[in-house]
Amino acid sequence: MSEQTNKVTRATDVVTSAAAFVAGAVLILLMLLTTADVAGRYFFNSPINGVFDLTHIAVSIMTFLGLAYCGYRGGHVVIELLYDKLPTRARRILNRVINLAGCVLFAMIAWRTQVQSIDVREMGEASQMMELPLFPLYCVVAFGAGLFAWVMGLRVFVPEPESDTER
Amino acid sequence: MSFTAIGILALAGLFLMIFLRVPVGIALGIAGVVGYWSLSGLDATLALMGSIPFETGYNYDLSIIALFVLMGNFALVSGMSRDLYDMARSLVGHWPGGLASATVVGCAGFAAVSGSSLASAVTMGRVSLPEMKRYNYHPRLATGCVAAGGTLGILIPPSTGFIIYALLTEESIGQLFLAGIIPGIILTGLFMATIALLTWWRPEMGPRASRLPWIERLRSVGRSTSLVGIVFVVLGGIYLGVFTPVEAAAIGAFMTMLLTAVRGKLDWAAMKFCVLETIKTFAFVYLIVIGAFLFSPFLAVTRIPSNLAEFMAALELAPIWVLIIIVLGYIVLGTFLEGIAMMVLTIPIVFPMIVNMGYDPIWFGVLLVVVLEMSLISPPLGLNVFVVKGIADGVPMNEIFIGVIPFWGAMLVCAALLIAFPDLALFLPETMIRN
Repeated sequence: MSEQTNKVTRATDVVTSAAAFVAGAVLILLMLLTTADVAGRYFFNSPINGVFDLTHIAVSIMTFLGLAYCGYRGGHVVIELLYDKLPTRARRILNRVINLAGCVLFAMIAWRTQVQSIDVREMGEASQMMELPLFPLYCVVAFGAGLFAWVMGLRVFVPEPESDTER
Repeated sequence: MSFTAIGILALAGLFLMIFLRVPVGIALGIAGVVGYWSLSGLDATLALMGSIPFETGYNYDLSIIALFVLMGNFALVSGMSRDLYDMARSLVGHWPGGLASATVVGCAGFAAVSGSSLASAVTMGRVSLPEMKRYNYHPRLATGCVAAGGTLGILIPPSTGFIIYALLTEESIGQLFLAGIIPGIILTGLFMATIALLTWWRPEMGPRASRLPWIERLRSVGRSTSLVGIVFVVLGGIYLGVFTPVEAAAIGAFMTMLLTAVRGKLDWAAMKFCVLETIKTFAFVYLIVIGAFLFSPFLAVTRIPSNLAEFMAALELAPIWVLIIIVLGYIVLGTFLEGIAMMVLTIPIVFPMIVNMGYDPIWFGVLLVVVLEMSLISPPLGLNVFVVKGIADGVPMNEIFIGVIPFWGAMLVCAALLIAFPDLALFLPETMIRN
């Protein structure tokens, strides 16, 4: 691996981890907020306003900021039927093609969501109860989808270490 | 080419991609986008890609997955799987095959805080397999009961299976959760009956373990009370309408976090592990959901689901036969498809038929999850068997697959009971208090 690829992978590592940490912080906040809301409702007769809206927003952030981390670290159980029968060389090519396809799909999603965010801003679309403007959230979603596309694009050139080894 | 032909072509491409290890969510997304493009044109497709991913993520109910997965991860690091097993072992361990029965009960208990079958099998297997080895249990029985018991994770609430079903069909998550409780207890009982039968037939498969003194038993039950309390608050709260399933998930996660902290198991590393693992799992599930929602508009345009429903209606088969055909179809699909993927692929097609025939959608969700459990232990790709292989050192895969056969039969009995007595699933959701 050349010096430059090394730098790129390390930078990707940092950015995806940072995104995942933000997503994790949002998760903990969501847990605390919802618990406080219920406690407030029953014990103090004063529910927190806007938890419904904030939950929507939290889910968007968690999903899209988590995608690249999930894609980069893998970690889920995958079981192969046809794949196992392929020779190593074919597997490498196949992995590259799969990552390329995923990269194109999510790059397009990122692009279209970004385009959509401009419309959303002009129309002044807002959340249901608190009327928070939604276009910044569209930008977060576009960023998350773009980062996921980037990770898969990187895999086209720098394959996952374990995908090449015999199991 | 007719719309239906393009639809079938896309479905074939989808299956091929899944076999070639394309992640299910991405395969669904590609098939959906390409298919929609060919039928409805580029502009419509681009508009779809700009709106659907955002709208899928901007979802109140999805937060339930993240919060319940978080709760399960806290339970994992708290070491309460050990307590659960100890409790079950102290109560039934001295029966013939008692350690295997204790494993099943422990799995059921862990399933009540975790929505994942794999997590249930792994955590309980790590605790119980060495113990069963120590008492010379037959490896088939030992690994079989862990693999099968673990599948209770998706039947006993909270359950990822029910949440995905609810998202795809717009049914109530709370009702589905409650509907899973009684069948979950019945299946646990059927597993124990299976173990009793096996050890009655071949006592050497599961020797009796030592009987513990009463004081020891009481103590081990005591150690599990906090966990049992959490489960009662979460499910009882949903049943009594005190809070919504989303709120129940948040409160459950919060209480489990406190419990983990009280036990001194919640340091920075554990916290980081729980949160990041949750985000990873959540994003992974979400990727499948987003793929499903990119695929379903295309599928609707091809009219395959409505055509198929009409076709089945025209056959004028008795609904019960259609149902049996569907269940058998799922069992076959389950041998080579992963559970959530199978659900996402088939629900848009199968669900309208089921509703048309007048079956209860909540009840069908429970039946479907029981069938998914069977797929988790079916060769050649039963995921639970693979994870048990990973933690049971030296037991060959074939042995485990032989070991799960009796439990597979127990699941079939459970499915048959559900078909014969739908109230087993529907009693709790029908009597719950709704706000």
